[in-house]
Amino acid sequence: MSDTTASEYAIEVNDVSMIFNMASEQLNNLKEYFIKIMRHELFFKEFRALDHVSFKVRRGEVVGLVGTNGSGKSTMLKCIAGVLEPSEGSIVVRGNIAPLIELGAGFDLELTARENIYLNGALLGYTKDFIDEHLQDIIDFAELEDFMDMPLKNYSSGMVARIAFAIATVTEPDVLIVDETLSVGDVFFQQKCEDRIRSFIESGDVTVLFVSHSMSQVARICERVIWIEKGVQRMDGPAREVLAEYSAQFDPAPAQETESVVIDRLVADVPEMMLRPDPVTGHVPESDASGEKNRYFVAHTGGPIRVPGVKYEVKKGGTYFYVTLDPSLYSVVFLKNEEGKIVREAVDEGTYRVEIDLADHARGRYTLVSTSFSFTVRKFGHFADVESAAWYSIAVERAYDLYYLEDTKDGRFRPNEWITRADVVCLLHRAAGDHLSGDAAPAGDLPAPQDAFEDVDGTEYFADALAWAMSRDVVRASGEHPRFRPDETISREAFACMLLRLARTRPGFVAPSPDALSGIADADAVSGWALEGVSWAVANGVLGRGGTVCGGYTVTRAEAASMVVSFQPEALDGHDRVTNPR
Amino acid sequence: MSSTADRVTHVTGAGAKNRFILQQLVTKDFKLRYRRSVLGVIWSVLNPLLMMIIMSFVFSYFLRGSSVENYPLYLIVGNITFGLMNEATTGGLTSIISAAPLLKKVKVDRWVFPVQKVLSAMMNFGFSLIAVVIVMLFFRVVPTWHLVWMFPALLLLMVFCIGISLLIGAAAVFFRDMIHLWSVAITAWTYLTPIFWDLSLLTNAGAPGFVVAVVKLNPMYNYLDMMRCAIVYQSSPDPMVLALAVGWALVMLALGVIVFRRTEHKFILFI
Repeated sequence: MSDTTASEYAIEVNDVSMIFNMASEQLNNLKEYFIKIMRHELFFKEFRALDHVSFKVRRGEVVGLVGTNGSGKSTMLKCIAGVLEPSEGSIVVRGNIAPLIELGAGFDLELTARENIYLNGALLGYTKDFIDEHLQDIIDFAELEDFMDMPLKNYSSGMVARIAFAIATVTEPDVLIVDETLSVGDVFFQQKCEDRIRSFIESGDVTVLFVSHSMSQVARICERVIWIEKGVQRMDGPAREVLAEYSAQFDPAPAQETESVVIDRLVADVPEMMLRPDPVTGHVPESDASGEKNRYFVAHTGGPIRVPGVKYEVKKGGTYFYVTLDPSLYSVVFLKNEEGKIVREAVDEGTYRVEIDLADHARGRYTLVSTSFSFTVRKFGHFADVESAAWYSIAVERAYDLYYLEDTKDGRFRPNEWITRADVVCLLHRAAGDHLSGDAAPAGDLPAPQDAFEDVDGTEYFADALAWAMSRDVVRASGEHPRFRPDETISREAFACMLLRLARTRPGFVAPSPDALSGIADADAVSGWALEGVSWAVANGVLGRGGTVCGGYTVTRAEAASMVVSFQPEALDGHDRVTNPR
Repeated sequence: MSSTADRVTHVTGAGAKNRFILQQLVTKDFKLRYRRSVLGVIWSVLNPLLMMIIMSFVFSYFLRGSSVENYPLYLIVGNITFGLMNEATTGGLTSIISAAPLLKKVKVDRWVFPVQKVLSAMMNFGFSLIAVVIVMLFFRVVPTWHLVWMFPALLLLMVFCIGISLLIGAAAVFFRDMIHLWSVAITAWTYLTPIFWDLSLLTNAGAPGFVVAVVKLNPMYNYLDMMRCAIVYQSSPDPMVLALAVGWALVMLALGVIVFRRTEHKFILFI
């Protein structure tokens, strides 16, 4: 301890082995013990948790320790922290150790927080003066000012962990040992802990030994990685190389291994990297903030996912698996193993289930991110009367996700009822997204629908949408006594014409060619005034995908939704265009 | 110590660290002992007083043959001194086992725990002495300079208890039977030690020589006798008693330290 400056190494592990005698049965009393001795049955199975491990860590170096479960990482850490004594070999640690292995050791739940700070501080080797001086710092960091004189047993586990972390890190240690179990308290406190650890790392004076199953974390923090497997030191070298080797064992295909490491690193900065669906268009950005093309695998959940218990079966992809959902949604994500127990990581082989309680207001799709891949979850089944098997279900859900549709009072969509003209304008208005975007024309510039139509007084629920539709020339007032006829139905060809007029206002509009209708069997039945609209609709895949357009038929609500979704190609998001059997 | 800090944050040297830990642990035990009790630490005084009143009431009648002067004082000194040993060793017995959560997580010298139990018992004994003072005032017993013999007596008893605690604390880690065994041993020891009776009762009744020898060799007899010399008899202890008290303390400490040293590396595997 005295030669802190004498050596450049903060930690020296010299040929360390740790041997446990695993008694074939537990002998806890004298009688059993003597009987066994008499019968010469006292056999022990030897178990080598560490087998001739040697490494040295320079002062200020940040070293990661990786290995699968039960490989001896924790044993190694405990040996370095001095809790375990190695059976063979020696360990030299120079300087003070802050072991963030198991926080709050020595806490007595009957004592108050203040008393526990002194007790724990004594165990960590602080002087009394030092604790006196820094008591306020500890309390401030733990943010538990008002609870200092309350017995610890009345604390939540998160609060206990806060205090423990605050004590352990109140001073900059020479050697910091961080175990992955260090996920304490809420998200905000975790951030605070991470910041403090990072400040230690950045100071350059602190030697850090970091253990985690999350390769992304290790890759982010550590420059050097030591890989221990089944007690044997497998590799020691630059983080990138060791991690690539380490992940290679899970997947024999070499090309993908490096990829998975890259993905690991990409996913590492989850808050920035989370690809959030645009609330209006539902569009997921293709690249991250740095402009690099993202390498997420986006897997659709396929079948309907029912709210609130969204479930998704995840087969172990080989690497470790964290699930993060867009935090702003306040949705809870659980990862459950086969026994239904909540686990933090999918480490062991097996099938895991991701359960998400989507927030009630959540709409659309969400990207779940794991260290090996991400996939998209869609909140399905919003309307009670939209069967998942129905041809329009995807279109209706999509339209809802994209905020084209509003919630109905009774939670039913009534897909097979005729849509009214008023609802058509509302749907188009929302689909166009103009009601949300900032550059919408101010209300004063919009025409007043009650001036144009005799049967509209400007107070109806669709008045704003109608005013917008008039401004976009989607709806025209014509004749001597123009009437909007809000409650009447609409034909497919009329709907197509409205879509065409809306399409004209958009950049990249291509006028339909007259021969678009050549493959349509009932082209002759299309009304002359609607020819242009229907041609455009056929050319853009909105109508006529079944070989007919049925121009004179009345549009149902489900058809309207699917036509609008088809009209916005990006809204389909990889799904096949919805085909109306008609 | 820390190369970056400009002032001392960590204690230098194991001794100072262990002293601080011991201090904190003793404080903790003391606080927890009387937490939520109305009379609190007064119980440390009240308990021996009440015991003495009951016992002297009962025994002063059927121990009439003894030549003990001031029987209540004789009784209370014997009681609290034996109680000190009882509390210290019983605490020491489970000290390692109950410190398991700590030993598994932090690097801390293991001997701290048995020693701390002995120190805690000493502290309680300090409060019990107030009861002795009360009894002395009540019976108008004026102490002489011989009272200072109390300190070597207590010191030797403390060393003796530390030795036992190290020994049985280590043993209990490997064999939990020790916990049951020890309570039997303590009971037997209580009767073997002249706490409420007097050695003259044995000799007067014509007990065989080896019984008297066993009682006189009994370490607790010697510590009790030293304490009674200081407080009750107002005389210096018999050289033989003093020699045995010293001998027992050193033998027990040596035995305890050797056994503890030899086994402490394996504790972690058994707790």
